[in-house]
Amino acid sequence: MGRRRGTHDGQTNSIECFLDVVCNLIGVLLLMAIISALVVKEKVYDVFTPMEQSAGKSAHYLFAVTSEGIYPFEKNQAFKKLRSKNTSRTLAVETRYFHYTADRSRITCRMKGRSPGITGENIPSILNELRRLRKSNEEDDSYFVYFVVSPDEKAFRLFRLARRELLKNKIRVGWSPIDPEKTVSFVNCGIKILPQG
Amino acid sequence: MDRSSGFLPFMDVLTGLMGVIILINIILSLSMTGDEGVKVRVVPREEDIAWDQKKADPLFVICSENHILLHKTRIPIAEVRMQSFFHGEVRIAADKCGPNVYLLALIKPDGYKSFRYVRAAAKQLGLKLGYEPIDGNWEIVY
Repeated sequence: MGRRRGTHDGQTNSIECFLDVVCNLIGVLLLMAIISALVVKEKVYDVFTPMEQSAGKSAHYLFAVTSEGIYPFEKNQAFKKLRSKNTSRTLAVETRYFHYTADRSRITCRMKGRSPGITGENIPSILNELRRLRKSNEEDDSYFVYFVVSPDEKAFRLFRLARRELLKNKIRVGWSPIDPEKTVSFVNCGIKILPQG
Repeated sequence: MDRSSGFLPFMDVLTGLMGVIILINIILSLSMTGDEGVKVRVVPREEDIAWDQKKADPLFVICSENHILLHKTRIPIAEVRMQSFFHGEVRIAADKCGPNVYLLALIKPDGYKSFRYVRAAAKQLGLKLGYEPIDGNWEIVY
């Protein structure tokens, strides 16, 4: 960069030095902008996926994921309530997030409408609950959590976050997308889940 | 008149330029780190092999609302609905992939219905199926 030299004026000299600094700074900033733009543009993010999705029939714990949150099905609790009602008629019980109805062939559950204060579970609390359940379950390696996910961008992100945390904790995860307008049914005493649609 | 006063307007211009460059830098960084056009490579995790094969060859199928991308071939949903045609296309693409081929469906948020056709095709053709949710604006790198 060209600079004036040979002046005896101290004030002019100091301004020239300052100008040097400013010009160099601009150069560095330009360079940084170009490099960062190129690096970020070309960056390829890796997303790891299981090679084949396991079926939900052997899941120990089931969750529904919507854009609003993650909701445990609490099917064991629902089935217990249903079994306690010893009658052949169609039955209905409620858990925190779902309405369950049972007839002779299957148990169907439908998500409750949105209510104030009901926002689903957060990932740390789910993890804590699963760790607690896993401790009481001797078959640690086979512990398996299954998600039924609404086809929605927010729900997808929520599921991926939850799956990443569960996999870090060595908990097997499966999932299935489901049409949000359909219901989820359990057949064969709740062993198998059938996302309908 | 002092010579130094001649530099002051120049310095004004320079500092203004610096501000503009910093602004451009910030805007560029924000737009680049946003979700638009994010390049993503979907990598099957080999430790999750659920069948007795050491290595599998994924055939990527991207499920969108109006079409299916079978590897890089775009099939409109109207043609996907023609079962025999679609199954034929899947079979041809699968045969090119190798002996341990399996379908890896990448499901966009609006691609649930397309995914159902892919799932049916996998079942009909006896192919293994994996699936992964992806965002609508992801650009998949093969």
